[in-house]
Amino acid sequence: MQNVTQFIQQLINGLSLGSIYALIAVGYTMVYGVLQLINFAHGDVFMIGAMVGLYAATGGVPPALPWWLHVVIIGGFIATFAVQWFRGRRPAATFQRILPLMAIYVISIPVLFAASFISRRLSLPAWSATIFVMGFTIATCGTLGYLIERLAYRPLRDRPRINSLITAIGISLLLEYGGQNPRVFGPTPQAYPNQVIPLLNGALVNAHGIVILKIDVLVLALTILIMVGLSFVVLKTRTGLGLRAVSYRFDTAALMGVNINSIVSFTFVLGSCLAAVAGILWGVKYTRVDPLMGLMPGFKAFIAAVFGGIGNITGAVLGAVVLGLIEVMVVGYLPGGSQYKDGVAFVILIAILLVKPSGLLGKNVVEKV
Amino acid sequence: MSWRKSNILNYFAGQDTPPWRAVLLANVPVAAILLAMIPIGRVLEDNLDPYYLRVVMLIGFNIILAVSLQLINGFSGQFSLGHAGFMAVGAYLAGFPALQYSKDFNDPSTTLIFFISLLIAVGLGAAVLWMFFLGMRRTRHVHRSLPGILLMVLLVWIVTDFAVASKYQHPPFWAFWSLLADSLQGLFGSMMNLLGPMAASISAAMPGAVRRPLCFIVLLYGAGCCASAVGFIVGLPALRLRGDYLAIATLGFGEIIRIAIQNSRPLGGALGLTSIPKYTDFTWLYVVVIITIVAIWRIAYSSKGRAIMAVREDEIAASSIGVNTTTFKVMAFTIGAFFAGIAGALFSLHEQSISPYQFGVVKSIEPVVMVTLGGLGSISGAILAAIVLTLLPEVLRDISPQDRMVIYSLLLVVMMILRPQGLLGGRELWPRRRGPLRSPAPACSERAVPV
Amino acid sequence: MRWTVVLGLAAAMIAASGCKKQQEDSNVILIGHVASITGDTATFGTSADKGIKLALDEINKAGPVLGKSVDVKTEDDRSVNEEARTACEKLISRDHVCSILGEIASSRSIAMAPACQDARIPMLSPGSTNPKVTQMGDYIFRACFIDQYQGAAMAHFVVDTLKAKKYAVLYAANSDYSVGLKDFFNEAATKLGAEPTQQLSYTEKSDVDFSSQLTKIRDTNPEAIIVTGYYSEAGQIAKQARQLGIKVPLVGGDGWDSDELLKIGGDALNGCYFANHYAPDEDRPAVKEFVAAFKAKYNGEVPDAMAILGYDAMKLMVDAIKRAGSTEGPKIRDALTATKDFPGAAGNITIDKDRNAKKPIVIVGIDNSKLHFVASVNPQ
Repeated sequence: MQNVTQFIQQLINGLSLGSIYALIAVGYTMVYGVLQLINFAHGDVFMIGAMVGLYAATGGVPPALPWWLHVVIIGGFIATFAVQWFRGRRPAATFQRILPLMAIYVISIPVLFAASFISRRLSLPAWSATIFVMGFTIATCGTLGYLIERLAYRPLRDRPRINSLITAIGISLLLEYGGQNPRVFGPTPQAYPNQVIPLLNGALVNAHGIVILKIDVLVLALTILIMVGLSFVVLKTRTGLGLRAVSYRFDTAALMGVNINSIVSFTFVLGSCLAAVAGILWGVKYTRVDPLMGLMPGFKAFIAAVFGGIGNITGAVLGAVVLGLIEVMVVGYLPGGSQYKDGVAFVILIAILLVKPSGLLGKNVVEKV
Repeated sequence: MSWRKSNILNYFAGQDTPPWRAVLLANVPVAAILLAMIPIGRVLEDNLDPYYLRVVMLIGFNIILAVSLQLINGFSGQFSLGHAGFMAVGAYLAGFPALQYSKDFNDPSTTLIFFISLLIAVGLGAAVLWMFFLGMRRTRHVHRSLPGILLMVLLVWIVTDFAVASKYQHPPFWAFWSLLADSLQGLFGSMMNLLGPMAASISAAMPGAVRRPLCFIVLLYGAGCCASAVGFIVGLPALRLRGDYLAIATLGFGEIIRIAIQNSRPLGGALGLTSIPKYTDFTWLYVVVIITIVAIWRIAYSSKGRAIMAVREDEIAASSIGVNTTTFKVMAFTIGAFFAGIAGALFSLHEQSISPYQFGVVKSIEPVVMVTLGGLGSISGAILAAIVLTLLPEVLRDISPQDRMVIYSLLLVVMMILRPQGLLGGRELWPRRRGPLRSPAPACSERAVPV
Repeated sequence: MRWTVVLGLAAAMIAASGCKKQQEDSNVILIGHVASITGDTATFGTSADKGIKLALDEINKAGPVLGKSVDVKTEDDRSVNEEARTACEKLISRDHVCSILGEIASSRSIAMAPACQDARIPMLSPGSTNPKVTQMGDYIFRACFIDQYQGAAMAHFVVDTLKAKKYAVLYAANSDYSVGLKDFFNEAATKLGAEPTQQLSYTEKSDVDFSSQLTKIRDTNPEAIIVTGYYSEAGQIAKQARQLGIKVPLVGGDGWDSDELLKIGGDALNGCYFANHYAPDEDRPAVKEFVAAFKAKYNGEVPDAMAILGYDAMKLMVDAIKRAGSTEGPKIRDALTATKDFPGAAGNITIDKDRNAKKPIVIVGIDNSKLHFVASVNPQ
C-alpha cells in the first residue's frame, strides 16, 4: 500500500514539475517553429521572470534605470540615426524603423517609477498584489523577449544558423552573469515571500500519505488553461494563421503578405510572457531563486519540446509533462537517481532524435533535394 | 601515398620531386621547430615570471582545444558543444593511471598494460551491449518498435520495483547491469594482476632517462585514444542529427560524461583526483601544440580534408559524388576528440588536481567561442582567437571582477552581430597552395597529336 | 587586411597588459586573497572578503604592523579551479604578496596549494574543511575545523543531547563536502551506538524537489534526519519534510549557515539544529563586537560563518606576521605552526601538527525563526 501511495505522490509531483516545464517549453517550441532557432536565452528569461517577480513582491523595483543605462540607450539611438544617415537613409525612415524601441524606452520610464511606487506599498497577501506582480513581471519579460529578438536575432536572420546559436549562448551568459552582479540580483539564492499568491499555502488533499498542494493544482490548471488559450490563438485567429504560415515556409509567407517581423516579435513576446509566469510559479512552489536557476530547466524544457515534436504546442506540453514524470520517477526509483536525472533527460533527447526526430506528435518531414 | 603527396608537394616541391626529398622538405622544418622548443622551454621556465608562464601554458591548452574543435565545428560543420567531455575523459584517464601505477612516472609498461586491459574490458562490455541491441535490430523497422520496447522496459522496471522494493537495494532490472559492470571490473583487475609484475620488471630494465618520457608519452597517447573512442561513440549518433539538435545532443553527451565521472568513486567522486604528479612543462606542452597544429593542418588541407569540407557544404551532393559521409563525419569527431583528450591529459598532469566541475558546459563553450571568433574553417584563426581569449580575462582582471564575464559575453554577442565570419573570415593567416606546383606541362605538348 | 587585424590585436594586448603598473610599495605589507567573487559559489567568496576587509580596517586602525601598514589584494577566481591557481600565481609573482588567504571551497584550495607550496608562501584557508587540503604541503594551513571533527561533534550532539538512536541521512552526492561530512558523521555516530535507517542522496544546486527521498525516509521512522548539504537545499528540505508530516528535528553542518536559510525554510526549521563556526547571538563579547562592527560597515547585514572565518583568518595571519617579526614566507610559516590559543572572534584557535585549527564548534538551534546558540563543543 505504501508503494502505491508513494507512486501516486510521485505522479503528482511529476505532473506539477512537468507543467512548469510545459510553460517554458511552449516558448521554445514556438520560437523554433517560427525561426528554426534554439533560443538558449529562454531559460534565462524564465529566471528573470522569477527574480523580477520576487523584487516586485518585496518592494525591490528600482524607481528608474541607472543613469549609465540611459546614456547607453540614448547614445545607441543617436548612433543608429548617424549610421543610417551615413548610409543614405533619411532620418524619418530610421525613426520609423526604431519607433517601437524608442516607444518602449519612453514608456518604461513612468511605468518603472509607478511600479516602484506600488511595489513598495504592496501588502501581501492580496489579490491586487498578485495581479500587480504578475502583470509587471509579464510586461517586463515580454519586453525583454522583444528586445532580445530585435537587437540580437533579427540582424542575424540572413546569416547561417550557427551565428544565431552562438548569439543565443552569448545572451544566455550575459543574463546569467549580469544577474549575478551584486548591483543587479546578486549571486545569493533568495527566497520567495510566502504569500505572493494568496490562499495558496498548504495542501488541498492530505490523506493516506498523499499530499496534493494547492500550488500543484494551480500550476496544472493554469497550464491547461494556457494550452487551450494558445491553441485557440494559433488555430483560430489571424495572427495564429500567420504564425503557422511562417513556421511552415518563411519566405513564402512573406510573399503572401504576412508581416514576418511582427509575427516573430509576437512569438517571442508570447513565449517570454509564458516563461515569466513559469518563473513566478516556480518561485512560489520551490521558494529558492538565484541567477543560475534557468539553465537546467531551460534545457529540460527544450528537450521536452523536441520530445513532443518541435513546432507543435500540444506536443511541447505533452513532452514536458512526460519529461517531468520521468524525472521524478528516476529520482524516486533509481538508487542515487537524483544524480542521473539530468543525464536521463539528455539520453531521452538523444534517443528521440535518433528514433523519431520529429518527436512524439510531429510529422516526419522528408528532406527533398 | 597520393594522400601524402598532395600535402607535401605544397611548398618547395613540384611534380618531379622524388618522394624522399619531399618528405624531408615537409617534415624537417617541423622537426626543427619541435627541437627548438626544448631550449626555449628551458629559458622560459627559468626566467619568466611564474604568472606569465602560467598564462602561456593556459594559452597552449586552449590552442590545442580550439584547433581540435575547429576540425569538428569548422571543417566538418558539426556544431559540437561537448568538447569538454572529451577533455575530461583524457584528463581522468591520464590522471588516474599516473596516480595509481606510476607515481613517479617510473613505470611505462604497467601504464601500457593498464590501457590495454581497459581496452579489452571496455571492448568486451561494448560487445555485450552490441549483442543486446543486435537482438532488437532484428526487427525490420527499429524506429517503430523501439518506443514500444522502451515503454515495456519502463513498465517492467516499475512493476518489479513495487514487488521487491522493501527487500532489495537495487531493483532486479539493474541486476543485469551491475553483474556486467562487476564482471568487467573483475576481468580488468585480474589482467592487471597477471601482467602487472611482468610489466614492472620490463620497466625497471629500461634506463632512467627513457623511462619517464616514455611513461608520459604512453599516458598521453592512451588518454588520447580513450578520448577518441568516446568521440567515436559520440560521432555515431551525430550522423543523424543536424545543426541545433546536434549542439544540444553533444552538450548532453558532455554532461553525461561529466555526471558519469562525478559518480564514480574510484575517479574521486565530486572532489576529483588530487595530488597527481606533475610532468607537463612548457616544452612538452608546446611540442604537442605544434604537433596538433601540423596534424590538423595536414588533415584539413588534404584530400580527406576536402572530403570533410564537401560533406560540410552539401551532404547530399557529396554523397552523390561518392564521398562516404559517415566515415568523414565520424572521423572528424574521433580525431578532434583525440587531441582534446591529449589536451586534457596534459592539463591534469599540469594542474595536479582535477574535479568534474571543471569540465562542465562553460568549459565546452570556451573553445566554441574561440573557434567562432577566429572564423569557422580557419586554423590560424582558431589559434589567434585562443590567444586573444586567454589573454582577455587576464587583461581585464583588474577591472571589476563582476563585470569580467559580462564583458566577455557582451563581446561574443557584439562580435556575432557585427562580424560573424570571425576575425579571419574563414581564411588562413598565411596562404596555402591549393595543390602541387605545376611546371608548364611538357607532357601535354608532347602528347599533342599532330594532325 | 588579415594581418592588420592580427597586428592590431597584438598591439592592443601588449598595451593593455603593460597598462597595469605594479607598484611595489615597500611600506605596505601586502596579503593576497583568492576568493570566488563571481560564479556559482560567489556568496562564500564575497562573504569571506567582507570579513577580511573588516579585519583589515581594524588592524590598520590599531597601528602599524612591523612599522608598515597592511593591505589586502583580492583576486576573483570565478569559482573555477584553474582560475584559483592562476589568481594565486598572479598574486605571488606579480603583486609580491607575503602570504595568501584562500580559498573557501576545498577543491579550489587543493588546486592552488601547489603554487603556494612551490613558492614557499604560506597559505591560510579560512574555510576549507576537507582533510586533504593541509596534506598538500607544510606551507598550507587552515583556520577552521575539518569535517572529521565536525561530523564527530554533530554525532555527539545527536546521540547524547537529542537521544536519537535511529537517524536518516540526506546528503548531496555531487558535493565532496556533503559526502565527506556524511561519512564522518556515520563513523562517529555508529561508534556511539546509533544507526542509520536510510541514506539517500540528492543533487546540490539542481534539485528542488525532495519529496521522493523524504517520503522514503518518513516511512522508516527515524528519530532525527541529518542533512549535510548547503542552506539552499536544507531550507527546502525542511519545508517539504514538514509538508509531508515529518516532525523530527533536522540536523546539519556548517553548510546551513546563511541568512537565506531562514527565509527559505521559514517555520519549518523550528526545532532544527546545525553545527557552525559561530552563532550570531553567542554571549561572548568578541562575537558581539564582531557582529556590531560588521553591521556598521555593511549596512546592517548580519555576518555569516564565512565572514567570521575570513575575519579570524586575516587577524591570525597578521598576528603570525607580528610574531614572525618579518614578512618572509618560511618565518611566517613557522609562526603559524606555533599558533596557540589565538583569540579569534569565533573562539580560540590553536594550530595542530597537521596544520588544522583546533577550535570550538557551536551547535546552533532554530526557534521562532531565529538562530540561537545551543551548545559549544570544545576540541578534545
